[in-house]
Amino acid sequence: MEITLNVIREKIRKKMLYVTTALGIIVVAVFSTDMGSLTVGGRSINDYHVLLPILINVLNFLNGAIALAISCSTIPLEYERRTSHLIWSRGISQGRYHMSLTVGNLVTSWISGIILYMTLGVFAVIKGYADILGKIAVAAVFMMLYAAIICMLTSALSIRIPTLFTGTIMVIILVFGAFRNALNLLTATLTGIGAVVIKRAIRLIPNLAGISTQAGNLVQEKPLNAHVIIMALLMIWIAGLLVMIVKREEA
Amino acid sequence: MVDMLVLDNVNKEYKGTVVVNDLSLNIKKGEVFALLGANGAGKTTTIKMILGLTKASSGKIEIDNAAKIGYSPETPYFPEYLTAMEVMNYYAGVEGDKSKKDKSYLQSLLDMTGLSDTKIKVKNYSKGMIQRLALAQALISDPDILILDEPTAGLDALGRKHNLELLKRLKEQGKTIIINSHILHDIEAVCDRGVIMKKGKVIDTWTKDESSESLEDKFVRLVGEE
Repeated sequence: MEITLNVIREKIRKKMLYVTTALGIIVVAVFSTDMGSLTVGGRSINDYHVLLPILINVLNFLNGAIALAISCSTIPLEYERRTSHLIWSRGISQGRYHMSLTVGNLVTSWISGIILYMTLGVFAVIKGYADILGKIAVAAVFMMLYAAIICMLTSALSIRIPTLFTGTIMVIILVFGAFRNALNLLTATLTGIGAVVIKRAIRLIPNLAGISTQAGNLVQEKPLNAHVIIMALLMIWIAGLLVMIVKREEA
Repeated sequence: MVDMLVLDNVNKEYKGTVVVNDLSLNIKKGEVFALLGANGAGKTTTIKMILGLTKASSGKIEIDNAAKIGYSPETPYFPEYLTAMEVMNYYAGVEGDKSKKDKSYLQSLLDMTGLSDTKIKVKNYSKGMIQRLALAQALISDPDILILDEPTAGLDALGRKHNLELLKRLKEQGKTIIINSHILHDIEAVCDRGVIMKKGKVIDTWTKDESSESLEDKFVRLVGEE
């Protein structure tokens, strides 16, 4: 618990978190004003009910990037600074130590995500859509799933892999995961052995787009796809397990 | 006297290079024991193996069952935005023993190490003050064995004197202390005995008042030889 609280305290002090959160607030503000309204078929869309799924996608992606950025270096930095010596020497197991650090990152990314969603709520009220506040609150649960996948995977990779490689791998996973629907469409027309390999590789990428889609479905009162949610929970469980079992040879 | 710590034919290899070679030690309860040697002699690796920060390639390390260990590293890092009391509170929390989170207990440890002003943030600390804080956090669990890596490094003359006096007091309390230090005068001032290591091997032992030759002369004679 102490380790987790210390991570949260340290991350909240980082300017990067504020800059990214401010960026998210700007995104919501721009989309919520006429200046940023989307145009489909020459018609301007500024109905929040229609805009909301798009905003949820954008905010989840942005919060995923925040989760990645704050998780990437936490564990390696503990070993670089040798803070790990003072933890290991107190008999704290690696699994518990790594998980405590990961949970600290996770809670921080959730705090940042909640701030983004609260901004969304504030603008919804300003624009006269107070009726969707409850839906925004429930959609935030999907943001938590999204951030948890990124946070857990990043932390698990960062235990043994250098920060730069972890960051690169996770950026690829984040981008491909967020655009998985588009990737599926693109590869649908492909044929041959190469296409089979690509399609299978895409299946291994967490379906982040699917999670945001479910949040969008929820606010638009469309049915949810349980398979996507179960797979997301499974992914979090596997990544969490990796955080617990992947070990360093020395502190 | 009871053995607090026994190392039996301990070896450590890193990618084919032997760092600690067939090391055997018996450290008794209440002893202040020195690990001596030039850089790369294997002292820090020995400490790391005792603490479980790295595994021995072979051999046995046995620590008295009920013994609690406190450790003060050579280059400690503490979050800059915390005060000494917050650092102590943090590590007391990590220990998981609620009784150690008592503010007056933690304050007494800070007072003992000469860090009475607990409002100063670590970012404003000198190297010596950080070293003292490292020693204070090592004492939180009221350890039976205290492992100190260069405990007087970076301290000014007063700070060194203060820390050496503290170590003498801790010895009087019956604590077993293992010190890794380059400052041989300090070793002579507080340690009962020790080993001199070179290239991972114990090349000689040292006992306080064993001969007329000073530790420094002995060290230079043994470690300086090629």
